[in-house]
Amino acid sequence: MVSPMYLIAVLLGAAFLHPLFERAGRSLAKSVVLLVLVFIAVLPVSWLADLTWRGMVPVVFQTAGFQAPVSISLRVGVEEAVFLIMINAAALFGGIYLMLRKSPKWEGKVQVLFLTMLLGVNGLVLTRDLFNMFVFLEISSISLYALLAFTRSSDAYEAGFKYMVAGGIASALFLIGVIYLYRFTGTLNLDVMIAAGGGPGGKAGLTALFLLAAAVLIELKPFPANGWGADAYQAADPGISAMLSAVSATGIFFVFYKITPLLGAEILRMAAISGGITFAFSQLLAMKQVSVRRMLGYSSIGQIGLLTAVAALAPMLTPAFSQAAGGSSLPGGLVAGSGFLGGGVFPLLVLLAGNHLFSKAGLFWMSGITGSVDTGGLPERASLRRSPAAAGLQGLLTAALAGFPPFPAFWAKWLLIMMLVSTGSYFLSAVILLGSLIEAWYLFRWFLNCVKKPQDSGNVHDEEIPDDFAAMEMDQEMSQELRPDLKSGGVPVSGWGFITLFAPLMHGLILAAAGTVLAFMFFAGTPGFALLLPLAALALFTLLDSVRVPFKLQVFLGIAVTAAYGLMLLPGLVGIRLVFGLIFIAGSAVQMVPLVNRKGRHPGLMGMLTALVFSLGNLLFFRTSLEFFFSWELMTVTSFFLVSRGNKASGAALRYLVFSLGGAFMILAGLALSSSGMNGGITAVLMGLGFLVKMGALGLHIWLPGSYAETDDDLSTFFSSVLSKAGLFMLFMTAGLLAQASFASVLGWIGVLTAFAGAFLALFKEDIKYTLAYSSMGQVGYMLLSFALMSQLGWMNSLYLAVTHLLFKGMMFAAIAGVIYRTKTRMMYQMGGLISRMPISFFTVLIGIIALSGVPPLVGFGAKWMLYTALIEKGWYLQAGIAMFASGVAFLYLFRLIHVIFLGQLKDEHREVKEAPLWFLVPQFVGIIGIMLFSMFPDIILKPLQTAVAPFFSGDIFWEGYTVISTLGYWNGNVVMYVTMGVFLVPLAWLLTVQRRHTQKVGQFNIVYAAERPYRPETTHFGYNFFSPYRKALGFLLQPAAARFWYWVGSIAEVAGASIRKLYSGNVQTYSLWIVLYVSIFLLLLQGGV
Amino acid sequence: MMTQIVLLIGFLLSLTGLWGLMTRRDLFRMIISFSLLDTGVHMIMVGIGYVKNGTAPIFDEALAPAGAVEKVVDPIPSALVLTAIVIGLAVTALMLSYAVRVYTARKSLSVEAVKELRW
Repeated sequence: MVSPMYLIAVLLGAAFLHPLFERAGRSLAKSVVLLVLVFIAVLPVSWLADLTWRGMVPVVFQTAGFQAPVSISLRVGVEEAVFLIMINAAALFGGIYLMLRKSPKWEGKVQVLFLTMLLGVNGLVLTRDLFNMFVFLEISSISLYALLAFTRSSDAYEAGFKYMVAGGIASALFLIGVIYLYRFTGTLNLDVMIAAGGGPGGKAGLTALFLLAAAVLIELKPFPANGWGADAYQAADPGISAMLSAVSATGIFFVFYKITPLLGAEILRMAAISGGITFAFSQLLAMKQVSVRRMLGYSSIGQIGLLTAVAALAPMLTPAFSQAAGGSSLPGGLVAGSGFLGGGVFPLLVLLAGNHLFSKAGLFWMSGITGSVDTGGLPERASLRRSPAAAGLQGLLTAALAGFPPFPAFWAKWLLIMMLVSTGSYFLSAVILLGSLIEAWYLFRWFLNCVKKPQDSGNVHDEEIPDDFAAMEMDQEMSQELRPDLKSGGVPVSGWGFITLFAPLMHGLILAAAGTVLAFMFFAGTPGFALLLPLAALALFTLLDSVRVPFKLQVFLGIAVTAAYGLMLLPGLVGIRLVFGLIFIAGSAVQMVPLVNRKGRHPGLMGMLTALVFSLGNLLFFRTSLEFFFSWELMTVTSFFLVSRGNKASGAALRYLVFSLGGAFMILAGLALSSSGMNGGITAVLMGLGFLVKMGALGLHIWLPGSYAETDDDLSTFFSSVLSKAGLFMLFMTAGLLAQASFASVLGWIGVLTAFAGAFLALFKEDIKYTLAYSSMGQVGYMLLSFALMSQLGWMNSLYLAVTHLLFKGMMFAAIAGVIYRTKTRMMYQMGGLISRMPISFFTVLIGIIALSGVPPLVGFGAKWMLYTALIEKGWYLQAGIAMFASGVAFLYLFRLIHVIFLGQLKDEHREVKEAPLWFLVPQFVGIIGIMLFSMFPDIILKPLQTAVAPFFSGDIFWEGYTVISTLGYWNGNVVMYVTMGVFLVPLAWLLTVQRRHTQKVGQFNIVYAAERPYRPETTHFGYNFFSPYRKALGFLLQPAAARFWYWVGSIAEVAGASIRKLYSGNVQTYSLWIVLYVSIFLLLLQGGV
Repeated sequence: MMTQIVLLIGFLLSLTGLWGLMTRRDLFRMIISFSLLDTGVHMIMVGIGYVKNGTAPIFDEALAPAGAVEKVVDPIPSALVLTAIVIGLAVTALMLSYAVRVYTARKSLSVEAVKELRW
């Protein structure tokens, strides 16, 4: 094994000789630095290879020819090697980032400081000598103080000064602690101390250890003694902030990890509490930040707090790892004392630390590359949207930091929560999940602000009625004059090339590769690794994007791979899973067709979409809870990126993400409780709530209208007709848990109220997409209600609704997307009379609303028949009444839909409108054929559904030919169809033949005919506020109680963040006071024996 | 007795330094307080390493290798103090230079001038 002395010697030598190299040439000096960085990144890799494949044992290298304790010893074990690989890799790319940057230049002095800082951190990781630790700590700190000032701004000097004061206090504590430890144990060598059975005993010994621990903890920036840390992150150059977070903080964390065996249970418990508090409060603080780097800084502080807590809890968690080995939730390699990195808590720390280090450094660099200073976003000319590569990269790094699959933090989060819950640490688990949720919130808010379009206010959650007289546009023009960054004369950033993005790109690749390897490890037993197909699809389409394959071709390929995936997967499924398989896969494949109509390039779209469809598909055949959760989270993150592409969708996308992630965390908590043997009510409530969030149940629905409606028109249909069923599917899968806990009637009430609220809210919308979005919410309510019946007919109806809703909502969204595409507006009152211009779309919508409203003869009637039969059989009369009322309301908005858009007066500007493009019509034809088929011959679908629910319920219903017979009556779809068609066709024929003589063709503006003056302003249009009488009567029900409640929840978090922020007055003496108080309270609690 | 006095003075000096660091409004006074804190810590270290009536740990006529352990002052704390002094010097120098830079930029040495970064 190569001696670690080389590492130190090379860094030190390069730093000292640097001025000489520089004299020979700037490029030479830079090349030498680069070589050194490569060397220090590669050397630990060779150690790891020695230690694992070549089976060497960890080596303690002695210095100066003496043995410890006389000499300083450097240890190279797996732990040191792994941490140094990560730290030095980040340092290598950090150096490359600084080198590739045009301004400010990477000066020679800064290169020297960079090397000495690395020397300090490498030494910190390697050394086993406490005093030597102090020396390396000071070397890295002094280099960092100097690096902070490298921008030469007065802010940087201020931050450096504060940092030095805090560092000075920590050093004093460290020195006193070390000298007392030396006094008590007679050695400075960590190994000797640990071998002697940990630290010295007694109160004095405990105090000495405490001083040491407190010094290291302060260096790790615990709440509230960390204001100086946040200041440093904010003021430093992004390249230096990245190193502060990734290199220095990780190195000092390793010091803490190293001394944990010495510290004893009391100090560790306090450290764990301190870490947990730091994590939670840092997230609250980060949420309120305006400065991007300060926000990222708080996030770093929080993550390091989490790492500290986990490392301090190691003694408690290690047994949990051993126990979990018996269960299926843990891959063999993670069992304590075996396999991957020695198993136990250490791999968890590596995942957490590595994920944070690479993603955070990447994000700091991104903020530097894009010039993002303000969390409110970027000036339009520099928007990330202009560079798909940069946007994708920032999205990837953000997703990694937020812990989405497949990135390392996802697995870490899973392991950590499983282990914490199994040891009964419910409170800490809740704090970690809540903190992670807040972290995802503000990180993605920043991301969305960087990619959003100029017309997006970031706060669109409901329809926006345009002003009559286009006053807004004038304002915008004026504001453009005033804002130089918006002026067309400004030089737009044309995008960032491969070279500029190199460093963050490398980190993104490392994270993605590590995530993929982890997925292979965790799913080692899964045949074919089908779970990774979404990622493969994403990679494939990203590759196609990068070689500029035309979008139309990508869509066809997407449809093809989806079909292939379906052909591969669906034959293996039976029962309920097969039903949902058809919805997810076949439904998606058909609805991809309208995308062919798009022009231009749409990087990332097909990748995300196919990944979404595949992860939905993967939900169908999960066997372990981890497989399920992996696909679930993947579905969430891919669908989030799809929503965020909308023109004004950034606000809605953020809500969607926060609610989905909140739901996912509840599910995770439920899964963890269930795997630790608690299958009681709380588990059911948590998981049920998680699924209800995804379905958009009343109260949890406020994310739904915005995300369905503000998504691109041709993508909305996926959310409404496909994605909303994922929650339903999981309810079916966990029905045992829910039924057993007797939540059925609660679910039923939620379902019926959702159905009512959805219909009622849809009634008053002018924006057609919001109408359809709320309509979907109502329909899902019916599915939930039917599911909650827990009877044969109920379940059949729920599945039947799921299938038919896919058909009619899919085709209606396609038709409406076509209408919007042609008319360029979403406001219904700005349309009218389109029947003559877009007859096919009219016919689709007509069929759709008949099917949806539940009047004979189409499929909706069957659904209503089954629903009311099942409700009455169950004795839920009140629910039946409300459901019926909701259907009436639904009919009203559907009537409005077809009336205002297709009937009445044709608008001047739509006189030349053509029928929607063929690609929009394809899904409509499929939907119409499906609906007609299922309406005529209900047995084609109902019999398979009956078989699907047969394993759960014995039969109450029977078949006679086409007739279904229940305990209450019968339904023959075939006859109903003939009768209705007869009732419809006979008068129609009569009108067309006999009555034709009495009709008279009139012009459109014949007032007698029209009963309307089609002048502006548009808002006097009859279609505007169509149901105003109902609004007057029932408008009080429209109070956005749910939105207000969630706003209130959000405000509490924000107010908390804003109040805590006041602790950081900016005064260095206040900061010192917090440090002193932190140490004193820590000591008091410790001496008090807490 | 001597050890106790050194330790006492060391602690007093450190606390004085800490108090000064947290109460003086002038950056240079704060830096002087910081030096006091450092010096106090150094005295504590020396005090702990001191052995009553011990001699310097250098082998010469006065000190034979045999039985030296009983007679000499433990050299390690002294070595540590030397290192710590050097490091403290470096930090103090850097602090002073930053104070100068802050003064150049903000025309004030008051601690109130260095609270642009906050919250």
